[in-house]
Amino acid sequence: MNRNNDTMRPAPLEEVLDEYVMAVGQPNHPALVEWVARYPQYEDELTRFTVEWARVDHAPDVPAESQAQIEAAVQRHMAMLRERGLLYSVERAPELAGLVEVAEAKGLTKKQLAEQTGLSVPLLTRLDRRLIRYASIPGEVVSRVAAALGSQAGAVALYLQGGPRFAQAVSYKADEAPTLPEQQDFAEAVRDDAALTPEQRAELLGLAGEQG
Amino acid sequence: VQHDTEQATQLAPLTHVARSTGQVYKREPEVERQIHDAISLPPSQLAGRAAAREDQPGYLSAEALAYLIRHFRREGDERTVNDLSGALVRRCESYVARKLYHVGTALLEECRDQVVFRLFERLLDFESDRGDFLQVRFWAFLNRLVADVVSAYAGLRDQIASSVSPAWVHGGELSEGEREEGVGYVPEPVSGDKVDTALLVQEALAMLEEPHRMVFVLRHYQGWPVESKHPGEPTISGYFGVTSRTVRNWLTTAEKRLAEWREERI
Repeated sequence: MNRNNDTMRPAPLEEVLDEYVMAVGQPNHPALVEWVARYPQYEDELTRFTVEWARVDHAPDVPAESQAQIEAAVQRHMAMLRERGLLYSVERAPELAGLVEVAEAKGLTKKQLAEQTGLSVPLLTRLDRRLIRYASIPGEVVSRVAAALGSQAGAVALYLQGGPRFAQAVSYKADEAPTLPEQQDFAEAVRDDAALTPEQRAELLGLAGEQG
Repeated sequence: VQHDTEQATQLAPLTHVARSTGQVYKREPEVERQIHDAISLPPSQLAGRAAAREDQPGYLSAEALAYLIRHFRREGDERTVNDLSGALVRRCESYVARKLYHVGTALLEECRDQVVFRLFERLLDFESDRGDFLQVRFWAFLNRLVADVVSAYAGLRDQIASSVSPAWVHGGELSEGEREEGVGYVPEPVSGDKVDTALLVQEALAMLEEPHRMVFVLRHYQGWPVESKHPGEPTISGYFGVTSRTVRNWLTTAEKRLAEWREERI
């Protein structure tokens, strides 16, 4: 944008009001007089605006709205913004049955899915069983898995945020209560994974914001 | 989803040039730090940050949220745009409602809708740099929007007020008959009993009716003259379209009520 041309064109009222608020900070009469002198064509608008600005600035304290009232207003305004085309509706992502299950349904083996996503089979299995804390999973990994599965990244993200799952096809003795391993951070799982090549490990740790 | 590190370190520059200074708008360093910290977070973590209160760790300012909403719109990540927009709207709701309270229940909802709509219209305008202001001084901009909306509805507000209160309350001049009957007449100020404006608080101002409250604010907080010999200088009497005597009467009423309030408090 050419700055000289930009500042030389006639000032629209909206821009004048923006700058007035930005420059003045608080409404006051001397500033109003100065800005009316600068933009006499907007004398009425600046004056009216300043009065209302002062009114807003000195608005009396009123009882705060309840949380329920605020939430209702938020929902109404979000719906309004969607209706007027400023926000777009986001369909709730369909729930995934499991990463490996979806892959197999598409004819992909676990090994192929791991290869396509730059993960090892053990690491993919840990992700599938949700044994890795979601907050530590790099978005890039979520995106890669989603791309390989042909799913929305949001659906994969939603799946990964669920609770840990037992391994499939594991049988337990009747007198043993099944236990689940604790979740771990993505970087920790990468460091512990002997099946990853050094290059894969370095890349994944880099995605997780850690040194290899 | 997480975005690559290079994108995260290079924030989209502001381009809006202030006419008065010739300088490009500039974000606060703290705002830029918050954006850098947040931009690569997984969606769930980012939504958590957006919902954090100011006294909680990882808090994101409204200016940082404004940037992030634009960023994720550019990235096509509408889910995150929705999450962050919801958080931003939630932060604005009670503030806007409080600032608009005086418009009255008949107009409150409509004015609130207008403010939120115009806020997002500006925030998500990619055709110009009109949205830069929001990344620099978000709450000043919101105040400016509220004032603008109130200004647009002022006529309607006053019309509604005049239908439910006598003219001397809403700001009209007294008729000759009303003057004779003493309606709204307030005696000249009692000398030596001037209200100490420094002690006045919101609570005191809140109990004043319009236009007394506004006239008092303009005179004592904003330094407006009642009248002026300089043509073109904004004055209280000029603004309300009444004589300077009426303005003084209103001021006297306001001061008297504030003095009574102070005495009751003591």
